[in-house]
Amino acid sequence: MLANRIHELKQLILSEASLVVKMLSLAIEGLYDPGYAFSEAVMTFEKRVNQIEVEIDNKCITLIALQQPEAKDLRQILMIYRINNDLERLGDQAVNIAESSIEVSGKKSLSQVPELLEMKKAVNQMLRESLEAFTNEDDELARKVCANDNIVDDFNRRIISHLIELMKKDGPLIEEYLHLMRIARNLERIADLSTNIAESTIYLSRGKMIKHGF
Amino acid sequence: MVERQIYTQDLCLSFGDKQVLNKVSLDIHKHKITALIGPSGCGKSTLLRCFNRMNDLIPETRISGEVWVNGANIYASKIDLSSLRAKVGMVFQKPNPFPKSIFNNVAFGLQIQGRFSKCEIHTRVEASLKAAWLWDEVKDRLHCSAMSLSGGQQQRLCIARALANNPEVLLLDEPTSALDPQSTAKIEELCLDLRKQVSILIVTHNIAQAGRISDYTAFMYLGDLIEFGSTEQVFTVPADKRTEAYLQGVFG
Repeated sequence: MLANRIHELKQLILSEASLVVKMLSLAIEGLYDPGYAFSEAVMTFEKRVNQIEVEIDNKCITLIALQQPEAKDLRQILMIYRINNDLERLGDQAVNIAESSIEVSGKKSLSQVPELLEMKKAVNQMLRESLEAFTNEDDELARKVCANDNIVDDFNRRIISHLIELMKKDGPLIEEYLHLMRIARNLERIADLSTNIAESTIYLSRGKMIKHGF
Repeated sequence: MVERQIYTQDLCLSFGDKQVLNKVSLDIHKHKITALIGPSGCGKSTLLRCFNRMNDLIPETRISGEVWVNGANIYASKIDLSSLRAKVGMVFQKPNPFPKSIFNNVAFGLQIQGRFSKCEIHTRVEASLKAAWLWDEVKDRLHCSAMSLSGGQQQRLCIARALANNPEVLLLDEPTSALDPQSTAKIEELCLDLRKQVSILIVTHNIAQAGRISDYTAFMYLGDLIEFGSTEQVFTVPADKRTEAYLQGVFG
């Protein structure tokens, strides 16, 4: 009875997750492919993600209020509630990236920051692996995701100092550089949120809270 | 669109000088589970017993207002009480099988009506025991005494006994308070399954149980119906402060 409802909830959050992954791929694809019309799709997906977020929120509240879940059932519902929140934020980050992608797509400044491509790959992998870990309750994969967060943080620092150098040298392109900085910052946030999802997965499967080194 | 099966209009009831129900107006929806909750003495069991006129048996009972079941005012004169109680079955807190065989417990109501053939009675007994999820456990010992069953089985037997009359409504008065958690879970799942064929009203002190199985919840306090709404609504954002306090265990 409760297990079925949690299963339905999990299916719903996985459909939300697949929309967010798609939004991010569209936003990044648009950055490297100037002719690619993507912004409308990203905005449409974001609306859908917001709808699903509210739906999951309500379902979690109802399940906790009416079914008094215990043990793993309780952990599942609480983590779905938390991951739901992370996914909605991820959708917002993808929208931010899409907005800046439109501004710098195909421009010279983009080729000056090749590290961004590497960072994007690393972030994309973290997001996908965090979702895979959650789907399969794979805490080993989740730990790997957490460990990779530092790599993305390094990318972010390197890109920001590189962009500051470029801004000093080439003042007229400062607007483009700021957009690139925004993209890097948002990618870094996506890595953080993927780490959150991985931490929630570890709590879900092991009942262990590993946030902030605890 | 939910159809209402029972409704009360300004229902008041008193036992002697004691007013137990105070102008209760309530709709019970068809093929849904409605939970009646509230602190002891709030009148929820009395309200339940109004729906098949069980309170009539208590001396000095005075009732005013109306109770309609399937479009008929059941407190009107010329109401046939036996057919009302067949249509509105009841199961009590403590399992109370007759000191007869398992088969005869379920068959008894049909036998005394005298209008069913033996074959029909057999078919109905089997169908009722199946509907009450008891058949597989008792099919090989139908002629053993009902008293040999466990408490949970006896309670399911009482449900089967009520189901044999093809009721439209089932009244359950704290049906699981004398049962262990496993038997309770079975009765709860059974209720969810029975919802497709009968409307169920359940009085329970177990708030968690009301949350788990009911579609609608009515909260009563000192004979008044304080709040009625979908269980989801009542349990997450109750409209009345007293309902909120009761659900939080602050009083009652």
